[in-house]
Amino acid sequence: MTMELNLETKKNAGVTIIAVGGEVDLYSSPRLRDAILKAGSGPRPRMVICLAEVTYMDSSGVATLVEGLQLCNEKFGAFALCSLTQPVQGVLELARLDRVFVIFNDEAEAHSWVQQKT
Amino acid sequence: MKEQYLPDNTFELRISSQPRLLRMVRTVAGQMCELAGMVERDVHDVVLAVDEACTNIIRHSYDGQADMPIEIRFRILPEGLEISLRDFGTKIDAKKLRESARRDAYPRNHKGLRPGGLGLRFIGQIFDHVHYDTSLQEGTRLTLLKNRHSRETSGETESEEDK
Repeated sequence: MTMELNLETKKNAGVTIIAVGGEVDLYSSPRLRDAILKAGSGPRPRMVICLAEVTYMDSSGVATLVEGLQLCNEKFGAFALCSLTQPVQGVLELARLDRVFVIFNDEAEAHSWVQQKT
Repeated sequence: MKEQYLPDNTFELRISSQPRLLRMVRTVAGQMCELAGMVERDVHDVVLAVDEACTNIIRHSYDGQADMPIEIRFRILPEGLEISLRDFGTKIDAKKLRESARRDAYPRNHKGLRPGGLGLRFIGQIFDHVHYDTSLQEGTRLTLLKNRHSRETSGETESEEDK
């Protein structure tokens, strides 16, 4: 089971895709936050956060995702999540935020939505 | 001098308030849940809530200091699992906590969301009994009880202030 936080950032047709793996908690969430803030530093940021390899997420991880959503909204960009694992789905449901984020089953769908959104 | 051991239904951790140790705490919490005979969904929820409680201690009771003590005790009871977390930092304001938990209970959107607020809500939703003891000379003791056959996580838990 992946324990450490793994991040991979790539760009595809103007959309930044951040693939997250491992455990997102108080210790590791600052790295995810830094990656999201960097991706959102330009005008009208378009971002997909792929969570297919996330094995654990707590409220600090959720707050980081919320921050990314708020950043993109403020800049008239687009923000989507994709490939949620059960731990991520569970914590978003517990936080009652599963209806707040735009969520897709896979990266391709998320990318397509974000690309045409702005 | 004869060593004194804890009863075999009890396990204690004493760690420093370093965020990198949260993973270990989660592992221990998960193992204790399994020893207590909890179903998988409850194991996941308890692990999350214990993590959140430790996170709140690090963030708020110790204001981010990484060299302060946190004592965690797990006790397997006939009815389930009792977990207590003791810190020696800034005392919790239990009244403010209850107000905050009620206010954050049903967010309509993400605006104004606070990580600490979420953690408190998780703790209240997941555990059947939540008790903050602020009568201690230093810090706070948080006692949590998860019944083996618990209610749905629908915010029906009771939260008490120590009298």
